[in-house]
Amino acid sequence: MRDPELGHDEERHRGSGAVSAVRVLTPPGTVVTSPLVAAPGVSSLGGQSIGVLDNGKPNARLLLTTIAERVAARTGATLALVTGKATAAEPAEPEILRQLEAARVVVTGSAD
Amino acid sequence: MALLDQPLSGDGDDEVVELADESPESLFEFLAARGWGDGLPVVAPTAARVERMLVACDADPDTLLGVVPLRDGAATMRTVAINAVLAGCPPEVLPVVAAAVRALTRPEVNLRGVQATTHPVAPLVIVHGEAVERYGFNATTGTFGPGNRANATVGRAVRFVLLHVGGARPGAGDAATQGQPSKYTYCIAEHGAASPWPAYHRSRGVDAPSAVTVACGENPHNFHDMESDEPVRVLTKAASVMATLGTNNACISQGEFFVVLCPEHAATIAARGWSRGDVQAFLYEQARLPRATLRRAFDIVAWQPWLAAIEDDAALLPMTDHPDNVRVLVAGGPGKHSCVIPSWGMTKSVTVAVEP
Repeated sequence: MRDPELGHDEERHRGSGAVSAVRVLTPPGTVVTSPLVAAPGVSSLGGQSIGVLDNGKPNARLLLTTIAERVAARTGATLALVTGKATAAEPAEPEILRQLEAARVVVTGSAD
Repeated sequence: MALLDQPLSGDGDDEVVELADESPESLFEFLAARGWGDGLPVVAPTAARVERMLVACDADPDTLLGVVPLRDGAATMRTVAINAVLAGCPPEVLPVVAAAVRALTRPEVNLRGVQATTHPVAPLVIVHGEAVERYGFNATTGTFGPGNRANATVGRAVRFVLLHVGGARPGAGDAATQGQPSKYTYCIAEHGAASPWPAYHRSRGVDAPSAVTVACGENPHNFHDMESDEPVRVLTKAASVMATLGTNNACISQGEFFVVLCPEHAATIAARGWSRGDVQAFLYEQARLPRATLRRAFDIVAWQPWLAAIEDDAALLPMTDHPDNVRVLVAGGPGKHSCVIPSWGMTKSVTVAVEP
């Protein structure tokens, strides 16, 4: 009998040359920061304040502000603040985040 | 707890997984099921192999080298060793991988941005000093690849740390639109013996026998000069490569350039008495584009205020805002090919000592 992988050797067929299980260590390791908890959503935008955080990418301010204005018009919210990061490649500065605390909801975007 | 005594656990985020065997097929399946690996065959990171690597380098497994975004994973010596074994590293290069991880997690690298951007950026690891010969790196012919185990696996191990510990997988974290080949591995060694100038790491103030530089940028762009016996014609070609709209350096003035000169180009330049600083100054002055050309190409720029304040459209603006952003070193073998490595831009290179 010829096994397609092991050939004619019956000893190997009987499993004396079988490969044993192996235990491997996983590469990611542990995470050092606690998972972020998303802020609770709002059940209604009526009367709420909306902020816009421009992420620094081309046309982001136009797009995000237009979205915020239309949402405000439809829901009775108020567009309270339009601000932006210094660069797209770095997190928003602490002062920018402090300004945005005045808004109940923030419209922003990621990537290009 | 010794690595060999780790309790057996299941799949997912557990530390130990049992596979049917060490075959490439089993390892591929193990990695693919979890979105790990780079698509190439790997070495099974058994406890024995990882422990052998840690013992060979007398490393404390629990030493924390840095926190790797985007996942904020803890890059301990143990975790880095696991990834180094996976990448096929010989045990002795662990200190080099560890130094690269320490350097990459320094805040000035902006690793979070490097990991997440749509740009194809990859960290280039450059090995300097005694470590080059001691650990078997290739600084001469083919230093960028292929063929040398230390170069290939150290670069790959660094990528595995970014993939696994940092969690930046293509399409899930790593948003690089197209990627680039150097995202598989990107590691060279400085050819100290062939350099007419002080070792790069010492020029950066790192006073150590061995060091590692990490610089986040593009693939290298070759230039050749087979004819010149003086610096200007050779370096004018380098400047031409630098002065392009097609790099992030064009719109981000803080971006560095790494200019890797082959030994023959370096010798030609140094034979006329040029120092590394002379090369930096020349390239800073020559690698320029008209303001009008840059402003037509970019609505949004991240330029130093003095650069942004220039209003003369005919003014030739430098591709970087300071001569010291042009970093010069020597690597490669015989022949007259050198290269320029543009930056991702919102990042700074870092040089650290290799700790034994």
